[in-house]
Amino acid sequence: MSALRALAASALAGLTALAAPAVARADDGTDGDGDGAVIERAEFEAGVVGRPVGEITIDNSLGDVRIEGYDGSTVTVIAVKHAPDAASLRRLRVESLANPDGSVRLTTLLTERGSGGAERPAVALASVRVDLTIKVPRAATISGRVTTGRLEVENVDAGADLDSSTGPIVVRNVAGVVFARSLAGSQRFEEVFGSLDSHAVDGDLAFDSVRGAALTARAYAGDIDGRRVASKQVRLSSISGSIDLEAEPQAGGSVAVTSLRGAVDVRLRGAVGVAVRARAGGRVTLAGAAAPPSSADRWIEARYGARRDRAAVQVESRFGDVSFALVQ
Amino acid sequence: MNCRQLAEQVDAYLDGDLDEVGASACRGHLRTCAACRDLADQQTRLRAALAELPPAEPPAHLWAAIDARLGAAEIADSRRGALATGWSRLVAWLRPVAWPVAMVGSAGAIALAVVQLRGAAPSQPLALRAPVVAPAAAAPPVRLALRDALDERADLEREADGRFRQVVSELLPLARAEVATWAPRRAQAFAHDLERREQAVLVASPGHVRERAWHDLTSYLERVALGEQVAMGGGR
Repeated sequence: MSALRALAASALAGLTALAAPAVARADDGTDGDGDGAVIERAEFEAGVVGRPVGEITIDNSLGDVRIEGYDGSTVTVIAVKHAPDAASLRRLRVESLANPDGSVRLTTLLTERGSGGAERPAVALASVRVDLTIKVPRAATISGRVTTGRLEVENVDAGADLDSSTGPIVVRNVAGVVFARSLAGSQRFEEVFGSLDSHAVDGDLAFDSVRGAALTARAYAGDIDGRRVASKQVRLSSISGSIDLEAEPQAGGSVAVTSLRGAVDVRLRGAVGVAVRARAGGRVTLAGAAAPPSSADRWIEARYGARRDRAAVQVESRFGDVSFALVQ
Repeated sequence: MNCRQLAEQVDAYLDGDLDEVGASACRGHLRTCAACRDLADQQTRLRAALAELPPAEPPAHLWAAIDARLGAAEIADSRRGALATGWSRLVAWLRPVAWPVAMVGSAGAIALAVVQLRGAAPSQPLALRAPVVAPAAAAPPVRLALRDALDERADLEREADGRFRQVVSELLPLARAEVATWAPRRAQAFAHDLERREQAVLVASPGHVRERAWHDLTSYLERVALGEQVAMGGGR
């Protein structure tokens, strides 16, 4: 019986959220360039009244998603739909579902041509899109998914779980655990304060001002670029891309940078002593240390700075060059 | 693919006549070129409008237009290989026979015969061919085989699967070379973990869930290939 009651409550909550767009401000019309394309803009609130938003999941395979944390308590959504004609515009839907536990789900849909009893003309994927701009409470946990669009998250404090196929992922000023995956989309992270786990196949990965317990980043073919990285455990790896890292090692921490075929360039700054070992199929350059000729199966080791709480540093490229330096 | 090539192939692409590689190249170019997207959009709208038109009687001047088109096609044939040239010769040989028949036969029947003898060039817009092939009175309305966004999205998912599959096939030998240096028990654990991740890909629904499973598999293989200490039986 309680399960039934919960189901009913969930359905009611969902209906409440779905009803919101009907009373929201909407503006539709042509895009003004005379080609007959139409745009519809709608703004609405999502969530259960009186219930704090816990997790918000956004799944938009039809365009961009921009998520901005703010000091309010409600989720505000601005949805902009683009289509070549009114019939195609009616196939684009934004669904909002709010649950009694405080979670909110936003999904965009392109309905079947024949749905609703009317056979609508085929439409090219490139000519329809839905872009979402969402304001969320800072404490909300974010799950965001796009396909070819841009996925942007900023100013949130409870981390984010992000997926993209070919669109770029951009994260700014985020605290908490961040988890990001993309196939060909690039990923850029600025001012992330928490653990960060990032993987891309063909996309490039870029980090600027990242600090937290761990930074793990892997790319198959993409390059990895890190600036002002101060995470305690840093592990960067690539198969064929190059890796360029400028980091501030933490006492007792570790930095491991490995590429199979790409070049590896690591520059460390700060007062912490480091114990470095490096090897490469190509050339090894260890600034300030007399580095004997290297080979892919032989480690070269060097130590720098204070002995206490040294950070362990490992740099390696099986077929490329490796260089390491301490900078001021 | 550049803009000129796209312009040449956009009809065949919208008709669904291109093979997977050609269609993928067109889609890729359309993603990055706004001007060509506009062109494709215009073509799409034009085709949608044409699809709504009722079947039409072939106008009297149509044959002249077809003949001119055949002439242009022959010039194009002259630039093709031996097989295409031979085909053009056959058409040229048959045309004197076709003309007298055209004088006494019905215009629709002649057009049908010549178009069939000529062969259907994939790049010719269906909208121009169809009214000629179909006798006006009995013809059903011609439906253009325009691909819908939902079909294109399914194509994108297949392309993503294909790329992940390619990456896995490149990583597997590297990972196996590394595993060959491991103790048997650890190697066995690798085989088990690999199978578990492959199964996860197979059972995952298309889209983000499957891409997440692919990421888990490729990331695991990358770690093994690079000789990192991999926690067996774990993984997100």
